[in-house]
Amino acid sequence: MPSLSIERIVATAVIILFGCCVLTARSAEHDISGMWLVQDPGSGNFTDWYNNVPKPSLRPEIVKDNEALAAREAAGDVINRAERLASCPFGNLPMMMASSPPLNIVQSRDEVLIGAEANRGRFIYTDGRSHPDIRSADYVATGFGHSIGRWEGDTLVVDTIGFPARVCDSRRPVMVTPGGGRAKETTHLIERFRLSDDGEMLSVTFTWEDPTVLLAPHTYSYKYKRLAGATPIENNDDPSDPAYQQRLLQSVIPPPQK
Amino acid sequence: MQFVAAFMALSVALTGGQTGAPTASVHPDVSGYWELRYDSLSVPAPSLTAKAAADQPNQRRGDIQAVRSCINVGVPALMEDRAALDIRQSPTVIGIVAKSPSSVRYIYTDGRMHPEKDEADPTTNGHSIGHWEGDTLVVDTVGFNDRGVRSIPGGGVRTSNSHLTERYRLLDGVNDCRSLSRGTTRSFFKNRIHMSSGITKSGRLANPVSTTAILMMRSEQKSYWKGRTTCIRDVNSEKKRSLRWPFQQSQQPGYWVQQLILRCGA
Repeated sequence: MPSLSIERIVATAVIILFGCCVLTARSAEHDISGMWLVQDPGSGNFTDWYNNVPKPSLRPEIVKDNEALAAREAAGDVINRAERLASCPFGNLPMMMASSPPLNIVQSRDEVLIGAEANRGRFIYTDGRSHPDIRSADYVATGFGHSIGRWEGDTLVVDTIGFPARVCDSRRPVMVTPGGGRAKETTHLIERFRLSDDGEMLSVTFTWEDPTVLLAPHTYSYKYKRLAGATPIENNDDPSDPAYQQRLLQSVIPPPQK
Repeated sequence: MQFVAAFMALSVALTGGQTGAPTASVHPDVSGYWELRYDSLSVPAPSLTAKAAADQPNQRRGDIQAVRSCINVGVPALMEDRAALDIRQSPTVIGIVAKSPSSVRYIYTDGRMHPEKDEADPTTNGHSIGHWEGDTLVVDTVGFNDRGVRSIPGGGVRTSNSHLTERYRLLDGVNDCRSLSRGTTRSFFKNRIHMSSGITKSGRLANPVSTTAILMMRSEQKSYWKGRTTCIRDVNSEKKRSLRWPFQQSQQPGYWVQQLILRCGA
């Protein structure tokens, strides 16, 4: 049996170090930081765009609930008049990821921050932590849920749970996902973020899972275009502004498109 | 040993010499959760113009109304949030999130300039660009609007003409905590906040007029904003209601101390 020379030991150590360097550099190669504008193929209005995804297999009770929501809105009742309480969660992940204001992504060492035009950011923890106990009384649900991510090669895989059961949205009391599903306390979302080879496009594939909502997982993809040198605008809504109050009472149902 | 040397050369070539996170090997990484130290708001008074001094009561009323209406507080109030700030650094942009109602603040470090004034859309956070001077991140901000909480610690008000310079530097600390210092000068001269700044210990002046530094402790809390405040936009009451947050009143009237500060390094 050949003896281990110092040279062989050093060579082995260098090979291990080399592998670590390459793996670590991988996250730097795939920096998704920047402003990203979702690419709408031309849906005409936001409602059509929001539902412009492969049709999900919904449970009958969700289909029925969607019909009730549609009937209510068709009758002109387009305001969720539930009281705005301190327990109202903020944020709406599916709406944020579909909205026309660009996403502002900051990818740091152990967390990815995603901001949108309107106020707060969404956090994706990439430091290796696991999800908290979302059934615990200590867990405070938000419309962004709790997201943890990891890199699989060139793809950031994000796992999200912990959505709230109800929301205080100005239109609906539940968080509706594209195609008519729901994001709630039993929902599990998997997203896969991947940059194009030239770094100018970002693809995000969403897979929603919730046996209380869907008969099968619902998958669809968005593409976002990089906006070089752009800066975000700010949501200037002022609840004390009479014009803003009036806007809240106006219909959000778009007129038929010609 | 030629074999080893060849592998080392190949390793450096393929990784660009990078052996850590994207930003760590080039500049200090300020990413993390940062809590304001309890003594950080001991701010010296700036030299205000007579008009600005006379307008202080009105300004305070405006700030209170902004808080009640849950309008984005903006800079500098965002940076003085009593809860931890979440700061995230990438090679090209730094994001800062506060618990208070506010937009995410972005500091662009990709070499861009401020937009032309007629192309800028003023915001409560303004437009921030940053560059590194050694181990110090120097941030330049313009393009504020007249909304949100506009008061500047110590006195004065943020206006559409304001110009803010901040200097961020990681300091060595105790208990494995590191400190982030931020220096601002708030001299209010004829509707313009004039800047020149330096880093010093909290509460001491590096500039003879009104430079201060704000020290923040890196937080190890894993559950960010547990029990967070939810600001409710209630058009009927126009009142802000919030969940309870573990505050205690400090010895200094008007200031509150977040108890979680004591957990630093735990």
